[in-house]
Amino acid sequence: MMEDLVVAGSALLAHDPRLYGLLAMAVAVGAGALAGTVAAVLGRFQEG
Amino acid sequence: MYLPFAETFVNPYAVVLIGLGAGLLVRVLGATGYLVLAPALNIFGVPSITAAGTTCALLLSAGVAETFRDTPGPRVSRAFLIIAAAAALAGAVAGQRLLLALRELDFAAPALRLAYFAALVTAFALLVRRGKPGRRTLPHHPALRLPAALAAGLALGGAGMALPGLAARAFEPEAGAKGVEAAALPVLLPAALWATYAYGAAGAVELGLWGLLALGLVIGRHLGGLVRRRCPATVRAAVFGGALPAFALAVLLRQLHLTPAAGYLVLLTILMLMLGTGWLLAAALLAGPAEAGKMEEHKRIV
Repeated sequence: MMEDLVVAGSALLAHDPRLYGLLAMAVAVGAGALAGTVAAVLGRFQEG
Repeated sequence: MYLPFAETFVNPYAVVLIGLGAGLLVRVLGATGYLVLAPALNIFGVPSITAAGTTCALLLSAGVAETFRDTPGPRVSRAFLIIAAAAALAGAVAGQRLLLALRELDFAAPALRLAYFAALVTAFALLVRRGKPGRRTLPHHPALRLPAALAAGLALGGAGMALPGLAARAFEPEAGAKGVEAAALPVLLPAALWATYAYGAAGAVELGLWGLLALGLVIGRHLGGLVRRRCPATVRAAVFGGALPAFALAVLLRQLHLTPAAGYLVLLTILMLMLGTGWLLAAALLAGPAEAGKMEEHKRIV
């Protein structure tokens, strides 16, 4: 999956660098949101 | 692992280890831990711009994840948060432009190393001052903790950002250390968002590198969290504080073109950090409930 992301990123950067910037931003925000959700759920499991 | 934009190879195991070491430091020493990411990546062959850009993307993820934390809101005013966020954004824009301009002059890498060497030495100097009565030092000093977090993510921009960050702190004398700590990453969000976009558009965010670093960081933060819950701050600072000058020395060695020595020093430091973690966790496990009670009491006093 990471390989696909890197290949898609390369194609985007070659096509339009701004799109790659947006992709990097979206991936970072998405991963952070996912990690935050998992941490919050696990935290509640530990408490409850 | 091949980095397509930087057109270079990097050892993936070393990248995961760097993330792990930084994650450990972030949890046991505070946001200062992020300071080691970019210089360590640079030592292992990642170009300075890519190291800075990828670190920004990582800080963006960490900031977003931090907003999900189910803890009481920061004890700082909205005005402070707005001023600090604006200062961070201004520093990010200035820092990114400066770093790209320096790349044209072929001076980006030495400038980045110099900035990080100074930041790591300062962080350690302030850390060893802790414990003296009446003095609040880096890990718990709100005025310095925030700029340290900002400087970490935004590389050279951090140098320009520290001053507005300190000035912002002057408006808010009652802001608590804990509040600023909880607020540091969310405050950084607008700056990290912009920096990730700008560095990404400049081809300086490597998603493969980011993924491996994030993996190491998550594991390191979890291990660091275990230590943080079981050991008082003074013990943590004594055991893990030595990593900061070791990383600073590695940056210096890299600047002197002693790259293999710098690389081994970084790996050795991370190994020592992991040994320290194992030792503290084993000690806490063997100490039993009586010692644990004493530790809790010590924690309250500290």
